[in-house]
Amino acid sequence: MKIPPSVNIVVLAVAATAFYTLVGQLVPQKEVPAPEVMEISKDISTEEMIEIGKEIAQGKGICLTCHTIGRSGALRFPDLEGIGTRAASRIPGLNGVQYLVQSLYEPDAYVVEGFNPGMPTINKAPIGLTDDEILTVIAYMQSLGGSPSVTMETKHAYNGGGEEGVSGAADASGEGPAAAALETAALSGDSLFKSYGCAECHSIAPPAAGEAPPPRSLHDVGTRLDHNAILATILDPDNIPTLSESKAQEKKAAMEAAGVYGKATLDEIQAIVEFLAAPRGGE
Amino acid sequence: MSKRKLLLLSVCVAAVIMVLVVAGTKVLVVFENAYRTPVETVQLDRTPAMQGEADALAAAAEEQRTRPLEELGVPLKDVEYRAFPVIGSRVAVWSIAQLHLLFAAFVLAVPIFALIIEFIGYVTKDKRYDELAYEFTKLLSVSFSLTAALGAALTFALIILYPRFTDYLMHVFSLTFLPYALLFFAEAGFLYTYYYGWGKFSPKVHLALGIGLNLVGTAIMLIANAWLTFMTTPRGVSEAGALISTWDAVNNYMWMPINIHRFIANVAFGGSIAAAYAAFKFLHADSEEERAHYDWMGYVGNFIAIVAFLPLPFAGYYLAAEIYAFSQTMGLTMMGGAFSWLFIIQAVLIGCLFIGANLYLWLGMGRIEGAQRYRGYIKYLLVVIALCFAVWATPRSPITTPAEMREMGGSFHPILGKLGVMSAKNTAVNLLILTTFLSFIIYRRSGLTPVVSWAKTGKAAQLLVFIAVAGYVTYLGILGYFVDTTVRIGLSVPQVLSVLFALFSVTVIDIFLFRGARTIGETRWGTMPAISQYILIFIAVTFTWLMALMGYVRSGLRQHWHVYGVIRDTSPDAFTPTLGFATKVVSVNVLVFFGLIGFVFWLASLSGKKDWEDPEGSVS
Repeated sequence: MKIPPSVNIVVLAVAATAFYTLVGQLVPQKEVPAPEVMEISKDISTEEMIEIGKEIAQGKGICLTCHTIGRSGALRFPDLEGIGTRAASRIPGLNGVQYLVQSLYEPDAYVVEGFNPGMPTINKAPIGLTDDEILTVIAYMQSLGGSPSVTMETKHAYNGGGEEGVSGAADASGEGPAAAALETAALSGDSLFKSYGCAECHSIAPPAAGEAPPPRSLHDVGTRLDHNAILATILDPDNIPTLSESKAQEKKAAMEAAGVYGKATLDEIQAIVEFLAAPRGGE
Repeated sequence: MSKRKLLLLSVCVAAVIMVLVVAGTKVLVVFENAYRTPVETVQLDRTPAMQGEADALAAAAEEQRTRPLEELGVPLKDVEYRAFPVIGSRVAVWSIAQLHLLFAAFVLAVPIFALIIEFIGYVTKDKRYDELAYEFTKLLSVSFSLTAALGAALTFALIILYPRFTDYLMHVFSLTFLPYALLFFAEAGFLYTYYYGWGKFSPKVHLALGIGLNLVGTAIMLIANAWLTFMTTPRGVSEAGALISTWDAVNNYMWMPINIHRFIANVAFGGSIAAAYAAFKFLHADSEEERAHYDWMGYVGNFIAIVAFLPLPFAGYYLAAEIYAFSQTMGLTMMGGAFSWLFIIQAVLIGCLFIGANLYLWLGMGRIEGAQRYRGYIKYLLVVIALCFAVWATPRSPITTPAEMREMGGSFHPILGKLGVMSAKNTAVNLLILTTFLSFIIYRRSGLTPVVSWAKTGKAAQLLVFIAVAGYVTYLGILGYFVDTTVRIGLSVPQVLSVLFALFSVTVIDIFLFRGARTIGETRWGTMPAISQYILIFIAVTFTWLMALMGYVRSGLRQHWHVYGVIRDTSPDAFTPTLGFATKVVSVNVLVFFGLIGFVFWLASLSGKKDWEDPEGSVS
């Protein structure tokens, strides 16, 4: 009996798709759940911190998607074996916790020689770990070849520790608080506002009672614009409706010359926005 | 002025007007009528109060422009998600989108090569090319309707099942919708005029219509690509998702790589489907003449598919490089994380495509007298292809039991693990491309003997290029094991460039080498064995499956984000499914697509059938 070509074609199409489906079943099957924010108690032990940190590093933190532990040779990202001890000597002036904190919150600040920058900022989307989750990750990192000193009470430059550097950690009183303070100062919107030359054109001091503010004063910009709008005007002065095109170009050129577009990091610009948006009266 | 020239002029003018209308819409309708503070014509000395008032107005306008919709008080949908019965919302949208994209790819691709074939027919005055181009175009009209219907279904599905997210996308891309709609009307106009106007206009006018059709089709693709690439590599919005620049949102990291990749892939895919149509007709042909025609059509369709397929991996490199540039995390998730095993499946598919394409060429040599002299080389080509395929499909970490892992001393096999890295895989795929190209070169010269005086030198030069490039690619592949990561990543660029150089230089030499060549054996069209036609169908199924799979990874890379890092997916489907599940969905979609495309083939074949006659012969 001769099988009609149409039947052969259907059988071929089904067989080919079935074969590829089979190949799809033969590879490892892993369902990746959407990560959820972990509620971490403040009074957990160091061992518990390490456990949670390890789970986060392997899971929602996706650290181990890129980093390896205990591998050598031509690696794409630094191996984390021994990071617990190595961290303290990476950058002069930063202790182990400070270095790890900086690596996670501001990864491009220091890139290990021989590797490319590219690590995401861990407390921002898409990874978006909370400050507490990051503390547990630091505990886990410290446990890789070292002894964890971080606790759930540890304060540092990025979680409200202010200019005092790291506190609450066993080695916080050691080397580096001055460096951490410098780091914090570097992120201060006030100093950035001045260092990028914004203060040369814009005043931020509220005018005295009855007096008009000087031209281009930004003393009340926080009451007029929200964060997004302030950011938009910095990123592109064309967004300022009161400026003519030529004025906008002048402003852009001045900001470019001051390094706002070429040198400033997004975090620095955000710090300036935060500073400008802060209420300072003087209506 | 003659009637023909007048018509040609009218078409050109209409095309220019169409482009101006679309481009002008943005400026005249959208920008000009957008709310903004009136422009002052007279500069006044402002009092502080006036300045404050102006500042407040400006700030309010700016605030309106940059804030997310919900902050503006625009009521976003109260319902964030709705459930689709049985298969769930994600699979429903996934399937509709995939079918829409497959048909859209076909509808965009066929006019590209129909136009090229028509042009060849126009230049060579060979009517066969014109007829072939028309036959390809016959497949378009029903496919276009199906594409539009599926596009509408996708829009409804998104609005109903993902209302809040769809609102957000509409907010970001509102400026693009009107041009898109206008272009869609233009596409319909050009397409139906091109199809129904076949033979009704002068060739130049008809070719101009084809150009218009392709330009508009490409513009539609560019806009739609902006929407989907924005979801994976968003740009032009603030961290909170507020729109800062529509152009930046359009021109995001993945946009241009996807445009290029899709354009090439569409041509390859369209060629393979058209070849499958020819195979279908060949297998059902009643006469030798018909078989010869469809054998030739299948050959042309497959030729187009393979020619477009060869540079596709290079476009893929560019796309992957841009994904890495946007986010190394996303790049690593793709190649080394949740999706790494998907690329092993991809390797199997591409390996099957290469083997199928080569097999078809080798079988095709059987219908050319004089090809016997090259038969002996086929086994060597087969060995190279099999080896490259094996390397490409070797995973970095094989699936092992704990005991086997202990024996290996880790998750990587001590020897085979070395073949699982990109240095080996890049080398394998580049050699696969070179070998397939060599197969084609051999096929092309099967029935010909060059008559130019420098024939021997030319052949030697071609051989030298092949050997030198294959050697260089292999050397760079081995070098990759001994250098730093920063150097290793860059090695793929000279590999790609050297292979491109080989493709280009050998082709150029070949064109001049066989100019006026003596024919030593005719091609006996229609004498291909039936199995060759099933290979064409197999290639089409594999292409479709591959496109569907890569569509999944492109979209799946976002994982639990609707817009990566900006709009989180909080639906019950926010998890990333297993590859086994994904491949099942892909298979079902592919089979549904082939069911629908079979319907298109059947409809297209109706035009050649006899008119219905009353069996009783009554005339009343």
